[in-house]
Amino acid sequence: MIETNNKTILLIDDDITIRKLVSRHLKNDQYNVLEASGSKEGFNHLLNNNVDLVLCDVTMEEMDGFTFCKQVRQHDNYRLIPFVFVTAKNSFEDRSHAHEVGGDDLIAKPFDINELLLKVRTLLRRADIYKIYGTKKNLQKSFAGGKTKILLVDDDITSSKIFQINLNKSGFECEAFNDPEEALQRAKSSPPDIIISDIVMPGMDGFTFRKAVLEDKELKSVPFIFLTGKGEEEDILSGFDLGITDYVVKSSGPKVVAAKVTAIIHSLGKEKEKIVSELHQAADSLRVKVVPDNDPVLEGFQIKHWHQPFQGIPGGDFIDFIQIDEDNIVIVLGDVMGKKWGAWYFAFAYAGYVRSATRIVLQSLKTCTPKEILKEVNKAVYQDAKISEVFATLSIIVLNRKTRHLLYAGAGDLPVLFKNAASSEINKIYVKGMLLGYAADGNYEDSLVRLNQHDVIILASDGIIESRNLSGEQFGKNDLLKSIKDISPSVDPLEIIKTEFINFTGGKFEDDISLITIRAE
Amino acid sequence: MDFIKENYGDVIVQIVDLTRATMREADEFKRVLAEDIERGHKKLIVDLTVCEFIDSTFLGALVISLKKITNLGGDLRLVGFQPAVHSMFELTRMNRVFDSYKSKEEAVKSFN
Repeated sequence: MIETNNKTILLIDDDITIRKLVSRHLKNDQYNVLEASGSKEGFNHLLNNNVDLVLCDVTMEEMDGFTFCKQVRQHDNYRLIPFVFVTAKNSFEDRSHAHEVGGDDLIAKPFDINELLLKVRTLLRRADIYKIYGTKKNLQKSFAGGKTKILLVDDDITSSKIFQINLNKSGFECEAFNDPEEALQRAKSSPPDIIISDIVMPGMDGFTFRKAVLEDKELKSVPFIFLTGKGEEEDILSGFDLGITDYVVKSSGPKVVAAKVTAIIHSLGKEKEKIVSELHQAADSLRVKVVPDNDPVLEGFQIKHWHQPFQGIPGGDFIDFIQIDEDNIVIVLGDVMGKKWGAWYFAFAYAGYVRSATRIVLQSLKTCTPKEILKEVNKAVYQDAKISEVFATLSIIVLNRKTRHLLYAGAGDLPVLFKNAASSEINKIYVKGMLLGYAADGNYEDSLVRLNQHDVIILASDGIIESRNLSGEQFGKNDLLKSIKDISPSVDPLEIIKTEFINFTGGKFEDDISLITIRAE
Repeated sequence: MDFIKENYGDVIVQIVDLTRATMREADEFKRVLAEDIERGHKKLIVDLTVCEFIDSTFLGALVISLKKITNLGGDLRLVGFQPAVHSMFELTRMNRVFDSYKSKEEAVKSFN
């Protein structure tokens, strides 16, 4: 989807004539402009909006622009926001002062408006590049991050202990088992990053164990190393027939084993990084987006979202916020079924397709209720033969700022959660409505909720509800409701659920994660 | 094998022998059912008695197969919902597109 130029610029100047002039030109260039006559008002705008760039005068009454900039930079969220001074103070001292306090540029008054616009554009583009680059870096880090989990199987208790200690010392997280059956069960319930196995074992030997591993679809691609005693060359050869990654002679010692494991992990990490990076390059160049960059702004409401693709790869979840007019906003959460490695591209593309279908339908609809939107999107998806074998769930909310009415309709989605602030009751809102693309008529219906002050609405994808903790319990069973109970007017609902969820799962997710919270202020 | 096939006359029963039926097995299961449908079988039963949990991708595989077989004039019916599976079908409103039965015998009888 091509992004429209919806960047927001904060303009601070105590001279109303300059403010109006610059603001008019910026608006002509399709920017949203927030005006402030001084530092206090400016800072308020920063806190309450998603500002992309700041234009600031230097000589002002309350506080001069340099001091203001310094304060802005001290704030974690605004360390990277492009900050430009627009000032008559243009000496070398002024320029270096501007630089010292963290300004990105200085435009001297009187200025050429075209030059100002060009600077704004350049700085915004650079900020975008940093943003993408930053995310990419984080992704790669999250991929490579965490300790590598090793599952070791050796019937000899002493030798397995020695290997375990040495591998842990080398920075791995090694679990050792003396019984292959037990190891197999463990691997199935919590897949390791690498498996090391002895060959000669009573009961199930290493080869049988390897075969059992190969039968499991998830485990079969896990790198596998055989530990062998001396003089078992025949065995090693049959090991390679079973597609093992490598073998190590036991007597070469635990240090050699650790070194080998490190080398294998290293090469695998590089491979993954390459794939993720290529994927994101492709996505960047297509400008396909499934999740918006920023939270929307609707007066009287706080709307926030959190999205985490499965293993850093864009998947089947998608989120959209569409402002229909001054008073109404549409909030969309969708999930395309299927998010395996092989299907990622399809799910990703399909998510983009449904997101744009929703946007197109919205533009052509006269009455905009979620039910009508779903009906039209379902029709579009159902008629499209190419994708008729894929199904998606969709939750759509239309929120009106004036009436504070929230209309919700869903297509095969999980119920939306509603916390009534006055009674502290938490309700699930159930609606009818079939998965997108399953039937010509999806039987959709609207449900109306009136939001009073501090009421909270929560939309969560199945990735949140179904994620498990170490003892196999699902987050949606008790803990989600528990964390919603803890929401009070003084805490951010999104942050509290997010924190509880990360604590619950230990940060290890099994699916795409998507969460949207809406709170009436 | 994760899926066990039984024949009762012209009715085919596929038993899903998994406590957690998830995206890991969904593709394979889709293929297994597609094979039955391509061979011209019109009466399919999927037995979920063993399943304590199914995820949305596995459910997707069932839905795709149902759509395929109903387009050919057949039907796919379900048996043996455990509580979590039952609530999954209810939440996604899929209980209204699938006919479900308490026992295999009942489901087989429903076809005749």
